[in-house]
Amino acid sequence: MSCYSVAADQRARRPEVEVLSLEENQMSFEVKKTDASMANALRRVIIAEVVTMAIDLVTFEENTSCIDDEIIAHRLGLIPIKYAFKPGKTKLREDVSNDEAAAMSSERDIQRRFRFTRDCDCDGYCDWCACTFKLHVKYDEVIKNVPEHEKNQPYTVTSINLESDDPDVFPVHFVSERERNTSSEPGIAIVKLAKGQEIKLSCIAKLGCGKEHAKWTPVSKCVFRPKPTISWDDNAVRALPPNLRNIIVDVCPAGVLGYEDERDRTSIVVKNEAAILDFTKDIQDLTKQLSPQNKPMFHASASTTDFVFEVESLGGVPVDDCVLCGLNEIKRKLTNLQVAVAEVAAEQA
Amino acid sequence: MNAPERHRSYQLDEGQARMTYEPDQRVASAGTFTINKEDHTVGNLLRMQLLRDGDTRFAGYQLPHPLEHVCHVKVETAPGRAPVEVMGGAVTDLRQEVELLDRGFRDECARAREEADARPMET
Repeated sequence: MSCYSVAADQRARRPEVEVLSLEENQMSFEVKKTDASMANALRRVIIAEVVTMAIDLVTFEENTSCIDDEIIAHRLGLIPIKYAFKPGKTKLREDVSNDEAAAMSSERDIQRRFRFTRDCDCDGYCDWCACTFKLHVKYDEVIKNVPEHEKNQPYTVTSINLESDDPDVFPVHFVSERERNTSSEPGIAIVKLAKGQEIKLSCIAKLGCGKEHAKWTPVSKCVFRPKPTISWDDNAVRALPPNLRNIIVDVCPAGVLGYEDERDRTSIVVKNEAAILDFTKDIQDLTKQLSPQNKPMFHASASTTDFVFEVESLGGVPVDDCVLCGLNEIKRKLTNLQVAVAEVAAEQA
Repeated sequence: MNAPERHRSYQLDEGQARMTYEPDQRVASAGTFTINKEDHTVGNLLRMQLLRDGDTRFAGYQLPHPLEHVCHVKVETAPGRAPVEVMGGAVTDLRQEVELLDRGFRDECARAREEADARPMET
């Protein structure tokens, strides 16, 4: 029996989820009553096994820019590609069985529309397993359309110059409205062209996952941390003179600790839960010194069952779909294992 | 170029079984599960869940080599309960847990959306 063992009826955990914030391209949520192994599995799967689309093959016809073909191809690969399902309009795959469809996270799932190229019976690539993009920019032509004061500047070729041949698939120019409003360029910069230069190429975007290459990772950030359990000896803190309370607040970097009420300044609270565990020892040592009974007034420990996730999407897949696809991927793995264990058990018997 | 195909790290080779089981030669009710094309994600998940079972005496996992996409899970159980049985229980429990996580997450996202939609109307 291990130190982790629990009663038979508690072996299957009953986790709970709470969404703390959900924005355009980032979210934060808490999973409770689970285990670090499950939280880590979810993190790993979101980063490495969610299926997305990325440019994988580039054919150059003309490249007189100062950047090598390989570098441009690499930059094109890193541009997030968005697939937007339009109910009723998008033509979905017809070879998806009902079971397969039920196993996917939603109707929006990219695999309802596209196959992996390796699973496709086409020759090379086709509409069902790839999407083609074209890029053709000639400096001498595009410069006619730019304002007079930019005429002697190099022209920046960006993701908006990429033309998709599928109306439901397009490159992501910005992850959020805020980024769009603060950017100095109209999209993701690919290469700069000077007078007389030209670039002409076609790209093929294919399905893949982060395990193959990081360009297929749908998130720029996916982290989790244990939720800290915090307790203060409020009476002891209140009994201290105000200048000593200030010292306690100042023992951590700004913003970690603070007063519950800025005017009252009697009780100290944790303002930044994410950072508090790094400073717990400092606060404890200090409050122990300040305490007349030589007793720390603060206690914080990392929970082993509750975790706070922070996920930030690159724009190709909506942030909540990244997590849903991740959960779905674990589900798929475990279902496969259930079948496999049953087979092994039958063999043994 | 003789580089192996990139998808070989997560897609089963033709005719390859997902899981095989090798009973231990010396210890009764112990054995090694070999899970093909899986990694730490599943290995650690299974190990921690196996250890929750009171009949598990030992559970551990290893990835023998970074270029071999294989995960070994070693289990020793109390006599009377075979490792395959305990493994089956662990996988089923985990499957249930993910189902709950999935449902919880969908509900919570819907709630967060509703709240976000309702907010500008109040002001």
